[in-house]
Amino acid sequence: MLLDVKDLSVGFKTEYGLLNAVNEVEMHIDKGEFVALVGESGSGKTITSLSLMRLIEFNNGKITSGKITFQDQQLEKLSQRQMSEFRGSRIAMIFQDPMNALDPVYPIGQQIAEVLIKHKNMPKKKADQQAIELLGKVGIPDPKTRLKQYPYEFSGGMLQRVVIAMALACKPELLIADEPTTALDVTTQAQILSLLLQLREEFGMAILLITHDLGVAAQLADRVVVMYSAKVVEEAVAEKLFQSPSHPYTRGLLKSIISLDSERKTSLFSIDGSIPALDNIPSGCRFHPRCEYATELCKSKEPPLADKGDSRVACWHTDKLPEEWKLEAASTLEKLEEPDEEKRSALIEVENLSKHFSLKKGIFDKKQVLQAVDNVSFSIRRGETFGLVGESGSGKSTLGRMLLQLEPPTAGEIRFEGKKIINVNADEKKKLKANMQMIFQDPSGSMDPKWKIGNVIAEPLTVHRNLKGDEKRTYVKELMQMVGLNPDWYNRYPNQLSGGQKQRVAIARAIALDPAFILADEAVSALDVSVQSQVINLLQDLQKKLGLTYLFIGHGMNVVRHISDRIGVMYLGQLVEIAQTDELFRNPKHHYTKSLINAIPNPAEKKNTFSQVKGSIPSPTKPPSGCKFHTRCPAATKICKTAKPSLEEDTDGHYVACHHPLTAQAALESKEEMEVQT
Amino acid sequence: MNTVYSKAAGEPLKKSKSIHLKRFNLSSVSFSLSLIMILVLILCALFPGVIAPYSPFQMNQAVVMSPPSFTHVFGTDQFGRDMFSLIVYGTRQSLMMGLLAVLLGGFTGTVIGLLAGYFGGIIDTIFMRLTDILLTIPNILLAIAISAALGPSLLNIIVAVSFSAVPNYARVIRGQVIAIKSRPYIDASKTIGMPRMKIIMRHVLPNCSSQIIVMAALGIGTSILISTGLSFLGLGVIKEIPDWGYLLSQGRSYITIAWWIVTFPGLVITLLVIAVNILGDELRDRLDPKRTRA
Repeated sequence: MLLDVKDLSVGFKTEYGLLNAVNEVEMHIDKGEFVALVGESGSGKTITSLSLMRLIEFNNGKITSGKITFQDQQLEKLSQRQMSEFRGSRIAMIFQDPMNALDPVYPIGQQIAEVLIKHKNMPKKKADQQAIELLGKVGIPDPKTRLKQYPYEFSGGMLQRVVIAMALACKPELLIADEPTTALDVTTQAQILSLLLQLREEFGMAILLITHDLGVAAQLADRVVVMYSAKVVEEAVAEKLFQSPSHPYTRGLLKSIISLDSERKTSLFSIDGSIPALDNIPSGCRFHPRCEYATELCKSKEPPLADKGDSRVACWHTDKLPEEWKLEAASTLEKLEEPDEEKRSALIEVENLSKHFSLKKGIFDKKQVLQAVDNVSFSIRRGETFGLVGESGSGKSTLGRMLLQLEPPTAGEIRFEGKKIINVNADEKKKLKANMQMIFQDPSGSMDPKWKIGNVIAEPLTVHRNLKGDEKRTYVKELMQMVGLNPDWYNRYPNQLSGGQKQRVAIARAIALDPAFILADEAVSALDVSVQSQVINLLQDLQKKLGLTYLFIGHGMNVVRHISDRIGVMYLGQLVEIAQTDELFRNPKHHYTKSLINAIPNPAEKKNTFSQVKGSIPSPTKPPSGCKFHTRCPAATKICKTAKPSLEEDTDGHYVACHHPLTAQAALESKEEMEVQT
Repeated sequence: MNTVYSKAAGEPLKKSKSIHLKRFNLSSVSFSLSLIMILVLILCALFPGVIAPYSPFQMNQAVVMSPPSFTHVFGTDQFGRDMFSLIVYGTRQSLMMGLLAVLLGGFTGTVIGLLAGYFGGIIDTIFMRLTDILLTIPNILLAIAISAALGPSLLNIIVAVSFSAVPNYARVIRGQVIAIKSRPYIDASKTIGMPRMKIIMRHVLPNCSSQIIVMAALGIGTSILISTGLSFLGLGVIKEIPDWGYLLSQGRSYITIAWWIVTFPGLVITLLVIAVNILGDELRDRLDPKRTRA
């Protein structure tokens, strides 16, 4: 056994007393084992990992009880100075955001060498040599020149590789990876995860992966530990956990995952409510308020983490849970109606829309043009949900902001209900704004922290309808009811609500003026899995009731697939493919679309491999010539480098911009080919 | 419609009562002391005759520069006037100068900062280059130049002192506005068609309030000190009743032989500044909804 954690509790001193953020956690990691620690935000998983490194003490936390045994050392008894001998050399850590994990003012080579010089007393020259070797191992091309570069010169995925190289410098026995791919795009995520697996073989180290993504955990881990509200609720070998989870929470989590083969037009399964705040923990089993199997026993007595042979579960009723368990049997809820195709006219038409930002650092710098959106045309039909996917930097948000007139376009035309909307007079602009609304990604950022949520929702009403006093109050309360918020919370402030609740406030505000069109820009990406489904269900419900048209921007292919009728795929400011959702997933024609679909981790299968697209998205200031995807495309030929393919209708309603579009057969073959490659 | 909100949206994040521990709290003690200090000074400003034991004009050759004693708690000055009474009588003018200068300077600076920060572009360039020029001149020098140009009167001093504080407000508020401007809630307001001026007044300004309060609290002390400097240079208003600044500059010459003449006015200014700052901090916290509890 490499690491053994017994009865670990961690508290935070606050002005209201000691908050217990980790409660009697027990877990162990064997030599060379890959363990995933899974849980929603607020479950205490990151704090657990920081406590293992004793870093929590720098964050106002305190280990209040328990034992952390690493090899034969008691980590909790060491002084911080002794502990720093362990950190970076025997236990290493990589963080969620590689941008913040590296110091921006030193070249990356120096930062890697620093670790070696400190822990191994290596001379500078040898350390540099070793750094080059490490960078090569983590797949950074041309490590010798890149050694001297600064963090800002790398892309997010490349930086995460640098951070991994730094963590591996002293060949640690345990690598703690805290959400290492959450800040990255799906395609980059697949690259980094494959790298972790490959390095684990090479270095023979154990890995503790902290993640909220069950799909990732299922594909990589040998064993999975599930945390809920500061406690471990279930622990089992990965296959066992995903095939027959024994805790209702784990079951709920697995069911809330939106899989790629779920029935699209049904409501999603979701766990009621949200994770409790640390200072308001329910009595007895902490999950009981959200559990459908809860009894009186659950309310009064906390279940112990009991050994069940091949797993450990903290639940009183694990034996009584229904035997049959299927991932796909998520929902038997009401079917949404398929809208009448004939009646749909275009609500929004976009023609040759472009947005170029000019960047100029100094007077003498050459003027650079960033083509955020480059000559995009498409239309959104009345009553449909149009999904827009692409990696970050593909220009999908800029496109959305232009539709809502938050950004003036450089060229092109947008028509709403057949009328041009660019450069219209103030009166018409006001009318348009009432008809087009937006839901933002970050629910906390999108509302003024100094406003009560009732007033947040009422803001559009005061601008457009001049509602006041009681009239306003009643209307807002109706809206709150519609989105599933308790109307009595009118006077609460945003910080008193959970993320999912805040997103409901944002939705209430968006529908307040009864708009025709709502832009949802990554509206659920910041939410936890269990809450994500609640919000998606609400959006679909409202669409049906109010006849809304959505433009749904997202980077999670599975979420976009579930909600959208048609999907547009963006790459470097251009639309490369548009098709009906089912058609797109069954029969993708663009190589980029194909690789996006293949990069999604799927909890239903453990494969230890990831099909991946090579490289990362090029800078939009220097887009490649010809087809912009040719630098990463497996099927690129000479013509792709010189001629730009135009978006043309391939089959009925399926548009693609590619010189060598995939046929259904080829799509299948290329998938296999990619898997062989990795 | 059959609603299921309370369950679907989860229970509210209610803070349980049990963790509101009642205990001795240093910050609440200093808050009460500050409040008392300010109240006493306000009483002094309103009813100096009731509080002061002697008249500020009463000179007594017998007790010139006598150290603090039971009859004269703060001692007497070079003319034999009771220091305590002088300070009590000087409160009105000092407080008025401090408060008015801060109000005027803070208001002007905030407006400039809001406009420059929110609109950017040419407006920003013009305002900020002007404040840059003003910032190169030390506060006190600026105040001297202005009051010398305008001539000595109470109003002119207030204008001079407040004007010297404007660049600081403008700079800080502008920075804050630029940060707030990029928050999604501003975009959210734009998407519903909120007019620009309303966005500034309802979203940007309230979110700058903590900076404004902190700066204003610090500014009251600075303003009093700058007006002191002006009095010292003969640019202040010399009335029969001297303000604290004038007392301070008068006592400066006797610091080696009669420390109390300079010490007590100085002490009062210091205490006032500290008290105002503590009150400002408390006010800032109370205005922050993150600290309000359900």
